Amino acid sequence: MKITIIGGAASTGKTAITLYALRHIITKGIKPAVVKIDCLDASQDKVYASLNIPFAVGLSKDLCPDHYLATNYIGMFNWAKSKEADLLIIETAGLCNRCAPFIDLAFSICSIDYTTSINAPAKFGPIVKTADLLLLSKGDLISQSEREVFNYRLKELNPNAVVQEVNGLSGRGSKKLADYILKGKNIDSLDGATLKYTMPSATCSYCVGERRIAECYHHGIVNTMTF
Amino acid sequence: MIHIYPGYNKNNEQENYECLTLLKGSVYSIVGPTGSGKSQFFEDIELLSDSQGVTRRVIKSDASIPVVAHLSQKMNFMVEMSVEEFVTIHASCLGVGDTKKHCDSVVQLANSITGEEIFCHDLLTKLSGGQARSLMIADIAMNPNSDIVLLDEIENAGIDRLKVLKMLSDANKMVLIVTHDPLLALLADFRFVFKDGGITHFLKQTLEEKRLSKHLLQIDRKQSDIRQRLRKGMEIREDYFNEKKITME
Repeated sequence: MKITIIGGAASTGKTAITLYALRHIITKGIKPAVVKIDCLDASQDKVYASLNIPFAVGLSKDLCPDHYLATNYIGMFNWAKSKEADLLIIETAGLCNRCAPFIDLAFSICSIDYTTSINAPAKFGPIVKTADLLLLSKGDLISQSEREVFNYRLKELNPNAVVQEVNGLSGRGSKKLADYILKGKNIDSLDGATLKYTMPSATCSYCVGERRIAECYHHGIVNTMTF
Repeated sequence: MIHIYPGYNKNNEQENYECLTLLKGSVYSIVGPTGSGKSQFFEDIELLSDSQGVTRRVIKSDASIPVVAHLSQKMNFMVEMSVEEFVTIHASCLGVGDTKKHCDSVVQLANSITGEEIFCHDLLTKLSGGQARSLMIADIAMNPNSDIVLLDEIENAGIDRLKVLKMLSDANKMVLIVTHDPLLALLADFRFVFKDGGITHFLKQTLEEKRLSKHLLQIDRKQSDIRQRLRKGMEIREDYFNEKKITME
């Protein structure tokens, strides 16, 4: 089975373009399964059900979605195998740009919205640096020159990644995306798989539900600003 | 140079040509009603489509990956920067040596196709529609790396569209322009006609068309003149048409 992980900020078009790519994949006789990881609500993702393929949702609720994802990789892999899938696609919300959700054995896709301004790449961290493919959407809304600057800056962050422009509305670029996904390597198990980037420490009092903000309630690993 | 091999229209009929070759420095107009496959054609070119695409058209390029610049009506500048700041950053991404000089040339070129002058210190996001469009086009024309320029209905952008075509073909770009404007369609070196998702005609501009296009130019000037009069608050009277009769053959 192949695994593809697609991460990126909300509303960059991950679900829309994944749906288009899945249609190409299904017509090739390949059997995909999809898991969607979200924080609070994944109700919009009923759209996957229309494809009549194995589909599951994981809601991280109070937990950081990336931590939640890391502890559920094995479970998702086994689930997809039990459904006799040839390909597992995991769609996840990569939220604060601090983390990257990717593992070394999976094909890693980072979804980015061109309209986030050409200064955005400087703010992206590990999720861009550790991706195998950068998926760029909404390029039809900004000028050619801005797209070129944006691409140049992404290339500086991650010179090795493939760049694919897509349009989530028309499905433009989805066939190329499907081809890249299908080039991913087949793996039998996730034994020995590692995260491409470490998760942040989550060990202060607020991680376990503290709400009071006075200094005497700060416990664990605390880092205060110096002014 | 790119080569286009026939695909299929929405009725699954094969397009009637063997291979079309498009050259740098030439202008190609694309005409057809909405939904006739014009935008899909742009997508095929941008992605160098293979026989697996919607249209099953195969497009091959002599350059391994041609740099395609695309400009459509709905594109905007999003970044909060001055014209000079942005054009300079773009120039350094392109590997241009003297970015200051490059910036001046881009702004000068942009000003040659727009009615309202652009200044280096203007904010990109504050430019009017016509100013933004002309700056985008000038930046594309001055980009030494781009080979193919796709223009999507620029006739309403408030820019001198005839100068734009000349500017881009002088810069040795391959220019493809989707247009509903008969003048632009006729002035191109070649013309694609689309219907039901497929190419039905690929025509070279005839010498006769070239000669006759001056009549359309006259009508165009007449229209601009009326536009100017309306903007000045003037009334249009019948004698205006009688005095300057448009001769049609």
